[in-house]
Formats: sequence, structure tokens, C-alpha cells
Amino acid sequence: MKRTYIIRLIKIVSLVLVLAVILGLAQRYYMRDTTNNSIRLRGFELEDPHSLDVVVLGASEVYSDFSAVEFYKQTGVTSYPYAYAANPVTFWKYELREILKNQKPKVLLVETNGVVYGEDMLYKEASVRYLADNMECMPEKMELVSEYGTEDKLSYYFPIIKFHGEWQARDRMSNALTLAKMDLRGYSLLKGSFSHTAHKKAEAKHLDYDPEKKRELDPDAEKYLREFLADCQNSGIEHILFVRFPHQITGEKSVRAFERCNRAAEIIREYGFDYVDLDAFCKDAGIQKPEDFHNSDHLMMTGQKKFTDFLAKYLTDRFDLEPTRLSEKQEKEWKECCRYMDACFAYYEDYRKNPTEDDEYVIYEREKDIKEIEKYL
Amino acid sequence: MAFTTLTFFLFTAVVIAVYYLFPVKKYQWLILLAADYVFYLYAGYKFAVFILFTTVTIYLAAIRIESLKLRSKEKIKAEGKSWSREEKKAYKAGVKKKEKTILALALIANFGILVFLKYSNFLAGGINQILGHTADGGPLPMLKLFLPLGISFYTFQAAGYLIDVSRGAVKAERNLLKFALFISFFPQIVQGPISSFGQLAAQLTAEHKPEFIRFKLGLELILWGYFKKLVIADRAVIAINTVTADYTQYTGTTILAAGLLYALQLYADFSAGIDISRGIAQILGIDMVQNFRRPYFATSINDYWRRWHITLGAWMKNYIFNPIAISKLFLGWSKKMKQSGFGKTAAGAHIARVLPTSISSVIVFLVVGLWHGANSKYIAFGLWNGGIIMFSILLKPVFDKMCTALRIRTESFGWRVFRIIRTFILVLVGYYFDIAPGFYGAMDMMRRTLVDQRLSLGKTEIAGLGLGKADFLILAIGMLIMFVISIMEEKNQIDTPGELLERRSFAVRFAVIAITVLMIAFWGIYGPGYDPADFVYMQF
Repeated sequence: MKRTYIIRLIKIVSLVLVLAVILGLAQRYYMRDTTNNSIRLRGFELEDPHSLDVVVLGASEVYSDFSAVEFYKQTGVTSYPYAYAANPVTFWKYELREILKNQKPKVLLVETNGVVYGEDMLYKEASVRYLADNMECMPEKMELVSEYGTEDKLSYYFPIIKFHGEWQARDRMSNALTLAKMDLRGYSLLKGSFSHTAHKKAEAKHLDYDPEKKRELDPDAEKYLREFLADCQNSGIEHILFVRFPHQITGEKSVRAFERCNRAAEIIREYGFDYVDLDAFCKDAGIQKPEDFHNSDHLMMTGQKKFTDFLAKYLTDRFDLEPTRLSEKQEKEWKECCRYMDACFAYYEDYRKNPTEDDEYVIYEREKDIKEIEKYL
Repeated sequence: MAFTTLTFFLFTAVVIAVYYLFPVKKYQWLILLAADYVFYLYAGYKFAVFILFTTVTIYLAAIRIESLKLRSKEKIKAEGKSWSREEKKAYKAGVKKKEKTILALALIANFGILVFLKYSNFLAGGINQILGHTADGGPLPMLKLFLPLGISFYTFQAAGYLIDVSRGAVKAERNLLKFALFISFFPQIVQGPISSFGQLAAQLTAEHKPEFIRFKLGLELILWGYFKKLVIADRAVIAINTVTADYTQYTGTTILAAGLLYALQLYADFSAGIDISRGIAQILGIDMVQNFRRPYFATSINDYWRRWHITLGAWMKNYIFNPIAISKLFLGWSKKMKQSGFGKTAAGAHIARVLPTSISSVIVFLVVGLWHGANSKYIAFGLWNGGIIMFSILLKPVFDKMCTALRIRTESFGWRVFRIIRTFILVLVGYYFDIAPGFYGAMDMMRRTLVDQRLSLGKTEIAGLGLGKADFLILAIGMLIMFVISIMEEKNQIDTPGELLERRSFAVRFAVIAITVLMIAFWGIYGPGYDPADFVYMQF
């Protein structure tokens, strides 16, 4: 009789285990958000503890304009863009905790575009999702979800509930493979870089604006910014610098954003931090407007390289950054990343000669791009 | 608390756990009763008033009727030979009259509520139209009424019990709480099946111990139900809703496709709900009556209704069809016809013999139609089904002769397939009344289906119904799985896929269960943005 029960139990447990493994794997790699944002955030989680000297926090400007691999090539300093599309100031406090969970960066660079958003952007479901899907720490995830989650709460813990119906979505398989390979490899190859390759130049009708003018932030945005600044003061990070990456002022919206950044700068300084509008250094960086821009807010791949090279020099000079001391394994990995980034540029150069009609084409660490890049290794 | 929500899943799990862990097995059934009312109150506290009313009135009426019966027996026994035959007869008739009065009052009160809540606006609209106004613009106002959860199901179940008591077929339940459990058993309250007291009540209050085989078969049945509901029904309904939102925008080809999809969706949806209900009951140690027996394998409309929503059909047969068909009035007609000149002919004799049955069928299906909803399209749906049954009964000798003349081997496989397809087409026509906005809409949809077949345009339209190619592929796979399982069940004369699975090796069982779970997880329609679409029969 006992034997029957044991066999029964084994059968049930084995069925549950098999299902849990399959569903768990599907959820980890496939039935979830698999956009470049998730790939980038996963890549960050995979970085060895205390192995990054610079972390750049922000929204799409960060991963479009900044390449951690290029930065390493120029300085020997390790860095990573902790960024996702339309990352609002609302969640920066959570992101700071995520960053500090495994890393102890010497420099935290914060791109301030996330503070200029209005209410419509501050609580976007997608933002909560990007962050929650990639948060490993349960109490913080629960706090985030209970406070900001607007969809079925359970789906933040089991993304399969939300994403199971999107299995046919474009690039899903390619991105899922990337996530799986990245996990197996143990690190990200392009370190979150996202390169615009549009062959049509962004049209720029530059508006005149008052560089000193300030505009009030959305009250909620200001509240979150102040909370974040208070957290920064207690973060223990040696250097925290708030910056504005290059933008083109081409419309009322960009003027408003610029003016709000000016106001943000005031608040930031109240807390003892510095704010630098790096757009002012475009000429020094060799960035041409509009040639190096994809649109008003993001640089093309050429611009990304120029800006990263500039930033490398700027930050090392300003903060006396020394090349990061890495283990043999880590150094080998970063060199491999450099090899891929070089190949990526070569791929891009070729692409420019024969651009496709797809004007929105971007290169990031997804399987189909990696395959193309590998042809140039 | 829709069956497809996590809340329901957790609720059921807790109920099962508490039910079996309850130390005093004798009162285990009280856990079920408590669960029933939690489930019911969760839907809305206002609803509970109605189910309580039905429970109490039917309970009291049944006891009163039974008391009258018992007292009448005792009285007759006591009076013994002192009463003449006539006196006994008169006394019995008096008691019977009292019984009938109580029965009628209880039924009128309960069906009255149902009719008022479900049909008053329909009736008011009809009267307004007769008076030359629009349905909602006449002297009779449209009322804002709500329909208590499962009212049609529990009213019919309670009424069936009371009639059975009055017929002496079952004993009246003396314990109000036990009777309340029979009326409100949560797995079946939403969409049936409509169980008889004799079949269900004793099981509900009996002591049950957890049995592995029941858990296994129950869970397999629930799993199968979720597969049909989430993978098939809730996917198909997207395309159906797109077409029915404004069918005039579509070709007859697309309307036909929507009709076919509806046939798939309705069966998958309704049978899924019943499977989930039966699965939960099975785990609780209760065998609920089967409500489906592969209806699309039916060889006639009559056969279809013996396989589709079996318990409603059985209820109608027991409590409406039989009383009418064997009523003095109908038997009198039949007798008169037989004795007439017409009745002396072969055709006349046949018609005289089957007339009570065929007219009763039409009446029954008129009620079935009305049971489905307060709309002229449902009346037409009932008449369509009843009419076909009536004509098939009346014209049976003609069909038999035709088969003989055409030398059709009626036992052959080919003939059986022909009859299945023919029946399906007739059923499909009936479904048009379901999906159309109203009676005239149904007629127009049928007309378009017949005269507006444009395959190439239809293909383009079907591609724009909200489902992608992959969705249609999933529907095709789901349909194929259902079809294969149905054939296996039909062949083996069993009613659940779990029983089929029991005959296979562990590896096969393991693989089938695992694949089904994964198909539901990957292909099911659920999650944020998904409205856990009520089961189709919940609205009835």
C-alpha cells in the first residue's frame, strides 16, 4: 500500500516538475517582454558583482547615445547603461536600489530626460513592466507592483499570464534566443547598446529658444525627483552627475523639455549635485546636427560613437577614472565585447552603403543582428 | 466569480481542502452549503434573496404536499371500510385538488419571478409594438431589471423537485439546509446541468472521503474543460463577435464562417463549463449527470436534443412534454381522429397516432426557445427545432418509403454520415437565430448566406476578423483534438476523455496531461486585457 502511494507521489511530483520547468523556461525567455529593454536590463543583472565603475541611468537617450563597450575601448573603464524606453523619474528610486544591489559604481551618470515627462508618461504600464519583469528582488518588486502596477498584479510575477498571447510577435523568437544565450554565456555582448542606423537624416528645423528659461516640472515628477535625490545622497556613490545628452531643439515639445531640464538642474543643485548639459559639448565631440542624429532625441550610430568617445574623455578627466581592475575572465569577456562592437561598426558601415528601405532599422543584441555582426568578426 | 478566474480556482481549492479536512464527516455537507452561499453572495447579495425565496417556498410546498398525501393515506386507512368507494374517491379528489393548488401556487410564484425578471421587458415591448409604438417608446415602460445568477437553472431544478414530490416520485426533503444545498450547489448553479433530486440530493449530503481516482478523473475533466473554453471557445468568439457586431458589412461567405465558428464555440464553451462543474463535483465525491453526448454526431434533430443539454431536454420531457402528450385533451383529439374517416386511412392512422407527440414537441421547443431568452429570435429558434421534429414525426412513413424506393441501406456508414451532416446543417440554421441581432436579422443572415457567396472576398474578410493565421491554425488543431476524442468516446461509449486516458500507459497519460496544460498556458485566451467572457449559458 505504501509503495502505491510513493509511486503515485513520484508521478505527480514529476509531472508538476516537468511542467514547472517548461513553463518556467518559457516565461524566462519567451513568454515575457523580450524587447531590447529587457535584454539590456537582463545584461545588467548578469554583470559580475562590483565589476562596473560607471553606470548610466536614464531613458532611450542613454542606450541610443552611449555605448559601454566603446567607453571601455577608450578608457578601460567598465560601464553599463541602466536604461529603458521612456524611463520616467517615477521609478528611478527603484532603479537605484537595483543598481546598488550588485554594483558599487564610482560614477553614476543620470540622464535627466525622465524628469521632463508629464503625467501621461510618469505612470506608463510599460515602464512598470520593464522594471518588474527584470527585478529579481521580491520585496522591492512587490512594492513596485503594488504601488504602480495597473494590470492584473499576478502577471508581474508570472509574465506568461500577459505575454503568452504574443508568441507570434515580430522578433520574439530572435530576442528569446538572445536572452537564453546571454544567460548561458553569462554576460551581454553589446552591453545594452542600441544603435540607430537610419539612412535618412533627421530633419532639423532648429527653433530659437532662451537657454536660461525654466519651466516648472509636473508636480509628481518634481516629487519623485526630490525623492530620488534624497536617495542619491544616502547611496554611498562617490560621484553622481546629472546630465542632459545631446538633443535637437526642433519643436515646441523639445523647447519645453529643455526648459524643464533647466528647472530640474536647479532642484538637483539644491541637493548638492551637479548638472551638465552635454548638448553644449556637441561641437567638441564632433557631433553634427542633423547628420549624426536619428531624430530630435536620439543619435545615430555615428553620433553614438562620437558622443561616447567624448564622454569617455570628459568623465575620466573630471573624476580621474582609472581603468577598471578586472579578473582575467572579465577582461577576456570585455575584449570579446570589443570585438563584437568593432564588427558591429563594420556591419553598420556596410549597411550604410546599401541601406534598406527600413528607415527605423536598429542594431542591438538580438539574435538576427548578432548573426550579421558575426560575419564581420 | 467566473470559472476562468484565479479567484474561482483558489476558492474551489479551499472548498475541496476544507471539505475533506472537516473532522465531523456527518456534517461535511454543511461546508458545501457554506461554499455555495459564499459563491452566490460573491456575485451580488441582492441575488441571494431570490434563491432563498425559491428554496423556502419550494421546500415548504413540497412538505405540505407530502403531508397531505400522507394524511390522506392515513385517513383512508383509518376510515377503512366505513367509507364507500365514492367517498374515498371524493376525499382523494379533494386532497389532490389541494395538492395541485399548492403546487400551482409555488410554481406560479417561482416561475412568476423568472418570467418577470427575464421576460417583462420583452412582453412590454411586444405590447407597445402592438399598440403602434416602438418597443421602448410605448405606454408600458421598460424596467431596469437584473437577472439573478443561475435563476433559470435553479428555478427549473427546484420546480422539477416539487413536481416529483407531488407525483410521489421522491420524498420531500425535511431538512431545509439540505434542500438549500440541492438548489444552490455551486459548481452547477451557473450553467447547470439541471439535476433531479433523486439523482443528486443524496450524494450531496452523503459522507465522502478523498479518493485518488476521483481527484485524477475530476482534474482531467476540469483540464479538458479549460482547454475547450480558453483555447477554442474564447478564441472563436473574437471572430464571431466581429461579424455579429454588424453582419451587413460582410459577405454571405463570412457570415457562414461565423455560423460555423459559432457551432464550434457554443459546443466548446457550454461543454467546457459542464466539464469543469462535473470535474469539481467528481473531486467532491459527487457524480453529476451528463449534459452532453457528442451532439454533432446526432443523426436527427430529435437525436441532437437527446445529446445536447441533455438535462434541459429531460426536464422538458418529464414536466412539459409527457403531461401534454398524455393529457386528456391530446389523447381525446387523437382518439377522435382515429375514429374519423381520415383516421381509417394509413396516413390518417399514423397522423392520429403521432399528433399528440408532434404538437407536444412544438410546444416544448417553444418553451426551450423562451428559456434561452426574451427575444423573438429565440421563439423562432424553438419553433424551428420543434417544427422539424414535428414534421419528421409526421412524415416518417414517407421518408421510410423513400429510403426503400431509393434502396438506401439505412444501416450503412455512408447513410449515417449523410444524416449527421444533414442534421448539422439543420442545427446550424438554428444557430443563426442565436447569433443574429433579432429574428429579421437572422432571416437576412440566412438570405445572405444563400445568395452572397464570394469566396475570394470572404477569404479577405475572414482574415480581418481579429484572428491571425496562427489563431485559425490553433482553432483547427483544437477542433481536430475535440473531433478525435469525440470519435473515441462515441466508439467506446464513454463520456469523459479521462476514462479514455485511463486505458493508456503512464507515459501516454503523462504526455497528454502535460501537453494539454502547456497548450492552455501558451494558447489560452486569458491574462490582462482579457475579459473572462462569461460562459454562453450563464446568460440563460
